[in-house]
Amino acid sequence: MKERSIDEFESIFERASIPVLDIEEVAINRISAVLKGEPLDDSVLVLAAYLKKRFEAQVDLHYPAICDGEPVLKAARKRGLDPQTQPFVSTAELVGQVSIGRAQLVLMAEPVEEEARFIDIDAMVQGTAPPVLIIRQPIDKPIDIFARILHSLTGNFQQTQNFSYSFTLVKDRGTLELLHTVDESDVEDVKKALRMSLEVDAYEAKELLESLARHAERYLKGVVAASHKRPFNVSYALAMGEVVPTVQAALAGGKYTLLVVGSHEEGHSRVSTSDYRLMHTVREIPVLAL
Amino acid sequence: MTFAALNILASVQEYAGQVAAYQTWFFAVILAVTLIALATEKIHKTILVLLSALFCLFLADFWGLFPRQEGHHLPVYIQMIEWEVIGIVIGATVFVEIAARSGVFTWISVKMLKASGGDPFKLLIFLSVLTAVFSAFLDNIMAMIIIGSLTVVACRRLELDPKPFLITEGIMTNVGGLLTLISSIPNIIVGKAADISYLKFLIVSGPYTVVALAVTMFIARRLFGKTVRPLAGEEARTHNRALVMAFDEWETVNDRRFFYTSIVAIILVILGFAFKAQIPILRDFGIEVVAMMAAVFMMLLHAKDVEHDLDDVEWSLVFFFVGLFVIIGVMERGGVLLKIGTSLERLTGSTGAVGLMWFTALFSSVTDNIPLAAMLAKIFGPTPEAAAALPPTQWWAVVFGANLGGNITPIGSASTVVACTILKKHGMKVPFMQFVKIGGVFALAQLILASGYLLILQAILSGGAG
Repeated sequence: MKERSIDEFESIFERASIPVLDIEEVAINRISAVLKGEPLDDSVLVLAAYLKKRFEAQVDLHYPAICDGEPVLKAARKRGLDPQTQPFVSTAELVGQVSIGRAQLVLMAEPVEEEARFIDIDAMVQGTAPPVLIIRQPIDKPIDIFARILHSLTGNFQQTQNFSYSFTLVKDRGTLELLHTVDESDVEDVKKALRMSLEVDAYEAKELLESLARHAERYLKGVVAASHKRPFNVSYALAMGEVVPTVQAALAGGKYTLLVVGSHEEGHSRVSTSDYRLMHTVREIPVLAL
Repeated sequence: MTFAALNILASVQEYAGQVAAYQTWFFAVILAVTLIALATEKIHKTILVLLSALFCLFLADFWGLFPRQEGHHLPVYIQMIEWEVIGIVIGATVFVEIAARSGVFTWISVKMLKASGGDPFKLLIFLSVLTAVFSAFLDNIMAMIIIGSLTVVACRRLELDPKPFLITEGIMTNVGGLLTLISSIPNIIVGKAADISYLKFLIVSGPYTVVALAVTMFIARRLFGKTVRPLAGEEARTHNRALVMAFDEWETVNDRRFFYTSIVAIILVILGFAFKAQIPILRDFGIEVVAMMAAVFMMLLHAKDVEHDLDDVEWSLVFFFVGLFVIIGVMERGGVLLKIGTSLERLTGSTGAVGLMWFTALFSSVTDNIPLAAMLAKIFGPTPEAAAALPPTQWWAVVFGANLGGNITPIGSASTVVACTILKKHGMKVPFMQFVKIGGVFALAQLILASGYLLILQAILSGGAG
């Protein structure tokens, strides 16, 4: 009985010992600003100028080859930029131009046209290796975008979460909140990941979801532990339900300044279906698609 | 000093005239064999004590030591059993088991670990003091298991040798076990026999416990030097702080609602024990009823798992007590206790309570302190009148000796046994003599301190009741 109790308590304390994640910040050294003649293009330049100064990064301007490059360059100089310019003839070429590698961030304004909005954003997010920051509102004080970040996480078992960009971008004394939503579709992902062929009943599915939530919570605590001694606050919340309404509800009550979705690992963008829906539904704040 | 109670014991020996000298000696041999067998731990102590009790009963009946009208039915020996003590053991065990399951104690332990910042010396102080506090309000074994388990996990993380920590914690458990009436079984037995209230026990033992904790910490720092040295340098401090901050106290709690209700329940129960005499409803009941009420209260909070909770009652300990009290009852009737009392008076009479404490400590260091405490309680307090007539310091001598004696050897107390079991489990054996060299230093200092304290108590309490 004594041995059993010792084992029980040791395992309780082992469980309490959260593995601290090793989260390195990204030294962003290249900003790719995409200007396609949208009303919010100037905000892209404002943000690019801020990020250039903050990270001492090189800024590249990408604009459609059919446009005259001189006004674009003039507008950039007005914002204190002296960028390299790269005209492109197609979205495919643009994707190729901006997919240089890591330590890079792509900035683009949301197209006004409904159709272009979906096609352009999806093509960029799917095609480019670096994360894409989509601007949806005019920007006056770019630093404010990084004051209160909501990083949405889904329960996708196969996704490798990446917190490096959020940790890098959040401003000093800013807040990074991690919202992990576990929804029913995650059960299918788990089944696929574990190669489970059997059907699970409602009770088993509930158990599976709860276990996913526990797993996620432990993981999130490791992220919070990694933020110890950093100049910003990190907190987390767990939610059960559908991703889009859950995140929308959080955004409605949270005064967030940036939404981060998807994951980004070794130069590959992985944005799940729910992240795509989220990316197109949330319109009031900028979205960083990893 | 003379043991005033011995005269009373002799006067109430209604069967003394019926016992022949050879019969008394025969019973004495049975008692000695039982105690030696208990110390060797070759046979399970419950089985051993129950067998010995049955043998004693048959023999007492054969020699006609029981009144004829009683025969050899259950009521003959049911009177010998201290049901109050058994009530406290059952109530306290259930209460402690359920309270431990709420995660309150593991939560506090992790908080303390984090508060230490991973500094070895602070860690030693925080965890050892916490062990003492837990053992005061929980039972010693549970306190040692909780803190000992955390210690090995934390030391693994911090790359520290857990041996100094676990040995100090085992020793601190016995010091903390002095604090309250229900902290240890000898306290319960003596407290019951001497009619000492929970609050009075706390007031008398509290000052000694605080000083003994400080002295123990000082000795641990000197004795274990390098391993428990405070960290030097900001880099090392930052590194260790980060390691302990990765512990999350909430991971040890399964049900937060149960956690919070348990905190309220624990506070209420401690207050119930402490102020029993002042609370109208509780005033008329014995402390065992309060313990049983606490158990029922906790079962109510954790109603979904009552079967499992009751499984954790230490039934072997309960049956051990049943057998032990029967043996002591027969020894009383067989005149053995009178003989022991007389010998004890000869042995320690000139040294008073201090001598009695050292005798109790030495005896407790090699065998179970429960039979000793039960025997001495019966010798000194066969009746409430006899118990009241005894100088109070004599009771305290038994309490101090029985608790602190366990620090001398690794088998002297349950908590040091648990500490050594945990170390052994992780491939670190503590040889008997190695422990004696360390534990002996602690015990010597604590017993010298207790001797001084007893003399002070004697001066203060002389003439008063314990």
